[in-house]
Amino acid sequence: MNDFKHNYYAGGIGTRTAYLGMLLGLAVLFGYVEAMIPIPVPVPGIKLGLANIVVAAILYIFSWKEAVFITALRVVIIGFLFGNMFSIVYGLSGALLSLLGMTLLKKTGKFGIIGVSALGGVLHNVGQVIMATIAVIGFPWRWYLPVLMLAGLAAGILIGIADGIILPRIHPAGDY
Amino acid sequence: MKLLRKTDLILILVLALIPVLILIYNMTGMLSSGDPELVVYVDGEEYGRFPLNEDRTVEIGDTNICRIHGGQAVMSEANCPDQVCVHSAPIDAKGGHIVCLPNKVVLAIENNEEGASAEEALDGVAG
Repeated sequence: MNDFKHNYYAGGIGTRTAYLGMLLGLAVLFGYVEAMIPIPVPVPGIKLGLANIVVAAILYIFSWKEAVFITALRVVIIGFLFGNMFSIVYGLSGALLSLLGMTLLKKTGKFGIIGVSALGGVLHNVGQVIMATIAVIGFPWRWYLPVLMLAGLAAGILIGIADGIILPRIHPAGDY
Repeated sequence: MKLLRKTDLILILVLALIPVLILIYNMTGMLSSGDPELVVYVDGEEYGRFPLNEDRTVEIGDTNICRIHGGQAVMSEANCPDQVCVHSAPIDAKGGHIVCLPNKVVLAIENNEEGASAEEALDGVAG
């Protein structure tokens, strides 16, 4: 078990590339699964964000640099496969704001993965609402913002619980 | 390490409180809102708001003229080539929009009787 004490995912550049490629594939796959299963809610834009399981995991196993890189690739790939130009722009603004918040919160060292992921979920939707408010004249952000913040909070907590169960098993050296 | 720390719980409560406060603020704003109003936007900026129950003629810059008459608002004149806004159906307290795209003028009803008009318009675009 001593092999697990250090971060073997981040070993050499080859090891890192292989793991990150695999995680990117997993993130895209989660996006695909989500695109296939519609959630019956009246407000457009609410989803669980399964791909964020992978992004939060990368943030903990590697660093924010790898997480930004994989997130950007993921949004572009999923956008080209199942979405359009708009879903890429909205996805990027949400995902990057979310990552910024998660990185800063994690850096404080006072919060566990559920808190980090919960903030990430909220900021993801905040980023998208900000983008929509800029892009669409008269976008009713007063109503969308709180509803999507609550939805993002719920999704973020669930993602955080999932990562809190998964990460200690695949990367025991980390601090969650 | 415990999965859910105390700080996480506080953070989650704060994150839940913010949207709830925004929602409460929105609802109090809705309750205190008065009669339906015609709101004129030019290039995304609010140009003016006028009560629907008073007849009047509103000159919007030097490009469009809008008339409120008998609780209905119409675009009576516009210097744009297509005149789509002038031919649009009148809007009243039930809500709706008249849009003049060439001059970037939007007439909208706020505080209308059937909920927020902007949200209906958005659904129309999405559907």
